[in-house]
Amino acid sequence: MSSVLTVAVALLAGAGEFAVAVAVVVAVGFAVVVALATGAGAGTPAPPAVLASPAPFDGVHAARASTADNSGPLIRCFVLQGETTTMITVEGLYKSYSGSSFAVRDVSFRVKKGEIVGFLGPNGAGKSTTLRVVAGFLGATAGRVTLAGHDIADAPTEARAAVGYMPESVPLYPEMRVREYLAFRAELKRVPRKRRRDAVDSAMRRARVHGVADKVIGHLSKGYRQRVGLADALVADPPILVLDEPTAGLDPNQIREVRALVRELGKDHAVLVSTHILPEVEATCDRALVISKGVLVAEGTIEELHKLSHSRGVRITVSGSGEVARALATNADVEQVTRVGKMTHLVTWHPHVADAERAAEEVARTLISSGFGLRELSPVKASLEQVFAELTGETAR
Amino acid sequence: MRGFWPVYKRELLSLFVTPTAWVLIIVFLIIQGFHFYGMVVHFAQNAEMSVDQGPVQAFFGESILFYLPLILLCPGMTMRLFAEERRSGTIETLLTAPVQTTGIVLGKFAAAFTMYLVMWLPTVLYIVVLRRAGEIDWNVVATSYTGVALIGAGYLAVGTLMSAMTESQLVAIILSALVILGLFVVGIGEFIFDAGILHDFCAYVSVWGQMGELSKGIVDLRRIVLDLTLVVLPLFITVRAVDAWRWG
Repeated sequence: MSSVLTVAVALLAGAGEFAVAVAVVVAVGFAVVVALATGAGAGTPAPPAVLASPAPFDGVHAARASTADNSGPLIRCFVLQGETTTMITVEGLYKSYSGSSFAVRDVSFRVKKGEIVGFLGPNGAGKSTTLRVVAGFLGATAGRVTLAGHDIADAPTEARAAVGYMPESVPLYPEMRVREYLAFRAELKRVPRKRRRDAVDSAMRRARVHGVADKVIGHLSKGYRQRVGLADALVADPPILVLDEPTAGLDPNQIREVRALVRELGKDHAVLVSTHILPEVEATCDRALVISKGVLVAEGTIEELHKLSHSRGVRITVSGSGEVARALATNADVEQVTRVGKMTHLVTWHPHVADAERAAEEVARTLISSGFGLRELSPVKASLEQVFAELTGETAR
Repeated sequence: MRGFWPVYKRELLSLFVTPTAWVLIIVFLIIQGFHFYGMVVHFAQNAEMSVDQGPVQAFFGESILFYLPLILLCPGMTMRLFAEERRSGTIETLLTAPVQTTGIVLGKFAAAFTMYLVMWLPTVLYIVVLRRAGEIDWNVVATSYTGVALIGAGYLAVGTLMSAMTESQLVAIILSALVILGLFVVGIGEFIFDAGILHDFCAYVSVWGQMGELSKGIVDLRRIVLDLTLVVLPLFITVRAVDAWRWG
């Protein structure tokens, strides 16, 4: 019944041509394997439709708007730069794991060459997700990511080649030696064979792991492993560095070293560093992006973020009887009056207040006309920590 | 195919600097050693032999001791390929390198396959030993080893796929052993069902039947096509599965 299917039937062994036949069959078979598999690679699934307008995400936008309202002014200060120096461009990035909720919503930013940008947010805010998309590990649900001019969806290998990425947990192969591992990574990142040795040596020097070059990675301390991860990010000398919490789990000396290294690298690279530690941003970064619950809530230089911390309200000390809160109830600038001492109150401004000094004058006038004796009035400056807490909706008030 | 060579070399290094490969190879050789010994003793006591019924045929085609190690050891060779990378997170550095998924999958598969061939290599000595006692048809030896390679490639491809399906090496080894065992058992149907479609189908996919033919020097292209399908299809799905993680 199956004679039709029989392409070449039972060939009895014995002759020399038999071996040739086997060889041909195996070779043809292998060619088929290779061809099919390569075809599969070329047909890498495209991201689900990059959305030009975010119309289908109206619900998301509404949520975003309300978040922004609750969390103070949203600063956006895109420093426009020449296309040649913009290394990372992220536009309207959405990432969903489940299909119903978004881990990252409408995130847009740029990083140019010679700039260190801190990506700041509490744990679980979407920092790592964003960095994974930028590094090319995860595909974006919607939005565009362009790295050194290569769109990550259209030219994934070229885009990934431009990035040195260090994941959060710094995963390494414990059974390999440091030099072996870096040589493997260099080959994987297509560093030409001739230059590979030099590339590995120079990466080890920069990350200061040349002392442990022949040690097995599994035997290294956390600090060294972290630096091996850094060396891996540097080995192909990419123009972009994406470092996910590079100082996590290090001791203070190591943290200082890594920060110094990042600052040095920032001179001729575009560096995106994530962290949930504020001093880190102040110590290393030129600019910061603050993300909370998957939404970018602030973006600016460190000075601009500091400005946010000015005039969150005034501290007043009054004499006289009566309720300060009631007296100020009609003042549109005042959001809240909190009694913090016997005669001391904390008056916080409504987020829409633009001119805090004028608002303070108004409060003084109101209080005096209500019969209070004003003994002290001083602006309250929140620390960067408080700004951060407010921006990310984890107000400590 | 970008990334094939570095991944292939790294996988081989990892296999052979950790005990995995050595343990599997030693277990295999001990089993095959007993197997071969039993075979030779059996034939030494039964002097009457037909042309296509010798120790080589028996060794490659007619003993459960040939199939059991394949069913049990092949999953062990592939279980860590992807599961370990996912568990330890190294998959993140691997997939963010400028490589193609096809290169990674084929590199890993090729490394496991190389180890498989290395595992079989010492058994050539058995044939050399037999050569001292009698005639050996080297063409039959060649077809037998071709069968060994083809069937092993299929089993390893299934194992590669299962390893990509889970983060747990234990789950990977159990799943692939079950699938391979399933394929083997379907082939046994040849001896269970009476003549009919079921019988023909089981005979067609029977590994036992295939090795029986190859160990007698019979090469049937249909069986080779089936074997190559069993290699290509799981690897193709593996590539897709690995790509799918990016969109998860």
